[in-house]
Amino acid sequence: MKTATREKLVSAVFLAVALTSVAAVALICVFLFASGIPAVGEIGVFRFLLGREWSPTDVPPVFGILPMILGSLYVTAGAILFGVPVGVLTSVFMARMCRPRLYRVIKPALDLLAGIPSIVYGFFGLMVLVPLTREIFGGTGKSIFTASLLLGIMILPTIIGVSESALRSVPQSYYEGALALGASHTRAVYFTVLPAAKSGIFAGVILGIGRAIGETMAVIMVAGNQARAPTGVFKGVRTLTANIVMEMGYSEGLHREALIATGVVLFVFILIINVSFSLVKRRSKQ
Amino acid sequence: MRRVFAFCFILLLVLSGCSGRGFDVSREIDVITREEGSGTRGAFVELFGLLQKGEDGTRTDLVTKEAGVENNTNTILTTVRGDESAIGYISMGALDGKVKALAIDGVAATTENVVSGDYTVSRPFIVVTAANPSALAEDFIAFILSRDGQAIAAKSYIAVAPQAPPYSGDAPAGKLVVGGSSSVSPLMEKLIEAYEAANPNANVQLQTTDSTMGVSKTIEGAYDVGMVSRDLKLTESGVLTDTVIALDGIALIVSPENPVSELTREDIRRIYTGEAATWAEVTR
Amino acid sequence: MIKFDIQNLKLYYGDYQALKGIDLAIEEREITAFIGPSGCGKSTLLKSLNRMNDLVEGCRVVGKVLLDGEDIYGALDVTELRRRVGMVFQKPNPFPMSVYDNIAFGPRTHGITQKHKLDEIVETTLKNAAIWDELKDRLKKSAIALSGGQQQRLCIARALAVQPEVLLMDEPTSALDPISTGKIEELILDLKRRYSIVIVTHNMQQATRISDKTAFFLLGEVVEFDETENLFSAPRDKRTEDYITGRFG
Repeated sequence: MKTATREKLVSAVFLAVALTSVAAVALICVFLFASGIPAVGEIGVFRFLLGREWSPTDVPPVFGILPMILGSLYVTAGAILFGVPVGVLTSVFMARMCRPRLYRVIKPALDLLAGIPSIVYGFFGLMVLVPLTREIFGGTGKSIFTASLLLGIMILPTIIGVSESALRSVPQSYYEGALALGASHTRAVYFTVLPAAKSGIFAGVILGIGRAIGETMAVIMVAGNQARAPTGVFKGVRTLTANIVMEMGYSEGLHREALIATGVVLFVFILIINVSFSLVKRRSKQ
Repeated sequence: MRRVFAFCFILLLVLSGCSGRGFDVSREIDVITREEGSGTRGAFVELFGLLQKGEDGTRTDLVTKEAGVENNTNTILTTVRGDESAIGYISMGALDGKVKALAIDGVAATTENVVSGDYTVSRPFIVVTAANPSALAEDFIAFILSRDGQAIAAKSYIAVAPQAPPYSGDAPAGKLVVGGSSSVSPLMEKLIEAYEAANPNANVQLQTTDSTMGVSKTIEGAYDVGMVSRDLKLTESGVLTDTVIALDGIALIVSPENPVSELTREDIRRIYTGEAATWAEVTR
Repeated sequence: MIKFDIQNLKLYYGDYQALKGIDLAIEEREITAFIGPSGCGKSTLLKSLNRMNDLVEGCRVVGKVLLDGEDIYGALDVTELRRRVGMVFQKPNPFPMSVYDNIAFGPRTHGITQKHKLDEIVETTLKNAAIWDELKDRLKKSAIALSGGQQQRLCIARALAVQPEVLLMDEPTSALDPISTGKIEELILDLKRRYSIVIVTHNMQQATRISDKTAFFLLGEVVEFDETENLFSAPRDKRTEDYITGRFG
């Protein structure tokens, strides 16, 4: 075979492989929208998105997912509240303060944390965090608080990973400049290196939000899953993901389609997050 | 890794040790339910009158929206075991001895009481056939009532003929349509699978609808065998031959730390509608 | 009067000896230039004057560096040393924040927080660095957006904001165009009236243009140290002559 022909063939194979993921996304979009949008039409956009009641097996059924939208937002916000300070400070520590020997312990621990399946996080939440929350704050222990705490832990590896590499890519000259002005190590890191890594860290936080909002198996075990608008930090909550997974098994007809439509809403959320992620990334490159 | 687990376990022990300060009846009841669409929830709301039926065919599930929702039996067991003010319900076959099954109206939640009919939080799984069923339908029902079929039923439900002899049919050939109650359907699916293994000549189709369809379609002749998960009305049982193949009992469970061991049906209805919010309102 | 008195200074990076016993006296309110080929130790010596070499792992110092008679490797607090001995780097390195915050960073580090005092410091230092007119309307804008020459003058101003006594400059114009270089040289000559300045340079013309004294470095040693005029017109050492006439380097 001639070299040129072979080159063409090889690049065609690579193109086909590369298009697989694009095709997967396209197919998922088609599936989601084809089965979700008609259901939304049947239920009514506003009654679906802004309805405060979810009673899918009643006759006639009521499909309002506002409680779950709020639930996902609250739980994600909570996760950010727990995860971001811990994650950012950890990444600063790892990138700029940690002794190499300690780093060799922390880094694999974080990799392990990232590799733990979410169902195991769920068990941990159910067996440790839920009783802990119940003992300290009362109630069932399954709450926005517990879910946020667990998700906060789960998004740590994402936030730390991205933030750490952002911090490491800050030019050493900023740090040296600060030291040359008489700043201590800590001051140089927190007031010059950290601000310089701001947009990279922000990107890490957005990725963390994406992970938190899409998390399912762990949340379902610690959130209580009440399908009503959240009533308090220590009360139960149902997220969009939980709604889909809890009821998909037995659902049929419009109920099933309403669950897929819930998936569409989630998909739009993720889309927004990804777009803002690329915007932030683009800005950080400038 | 093992050390980490050990640490968590010890933490848990310490925590559970902290809770030994006596049961507080003024605490809110942590109501736990199954998700909408689950068969167990369907049976539960039906048996406790938590499904309000309107004249015009409307159905409203009255279980309080404040109830925690779990989508599997194991999570309910774990949750109830750890939370002394929780109450939940599971299929009786899943009881594991680490939670306390409540007596209802003074009758303990045991298999014997379900079989004897004293424990009423249960429902029969019934198959119905036309007055003169085909040989294949008869053989299939014989299989269900044999030791083999009942062993399958006993895995998740309560067998009605635990001492039955093994299946010894002559493997008649033909096609069989089984349809009806979605509650019976999961069990029926396993029974059909085992039956087709035992009788390779048979071709059994399963159609999942509901109990009412199970009766009416069998009368029409569209189903050879109908599945029903409630007691038959007199009018229906006149036309059809009915056979109870298994019993489904539902146990109300609380933590072993909870001193309550008995409730009335009315108490449970009030708990699950949210009328009774604290244990004080249902303990006397 | 002698500002820095360097006595038999030896500096090691691990096993490698970068400075082989330097003796040098740097006069107050003069410009001292360090010249020499790459790797001769001139930048290393400069960094060891405000202990920026502390950042290098495995760096070890033997000998004495006296600042106004006080050993900087002794009891003197390193942050205080760096306040008194400022540094300007080869590549302009303004912090990714506003012009104002760049200048205020040093004073804030040393405990000044009142707004009016900071405002005053920012204005005086920018005026001292002859860049006030260019930047007074852009104080809140990001320093990263400035031109390279402006950035370097901002960095000089930033170093002046903590009222140092000595300014160390590590090839401050090597990354800049001739016009910006001219402005900075002008500024350096102007600053001589108030500060002692040590400048490392690759550019011998620059040394002759601005410095009072010049030290020629080779292989970790000071080969010759003299009045700039003498060193370039009548070098005493053959190696110095070879270097300044361009025979190597």
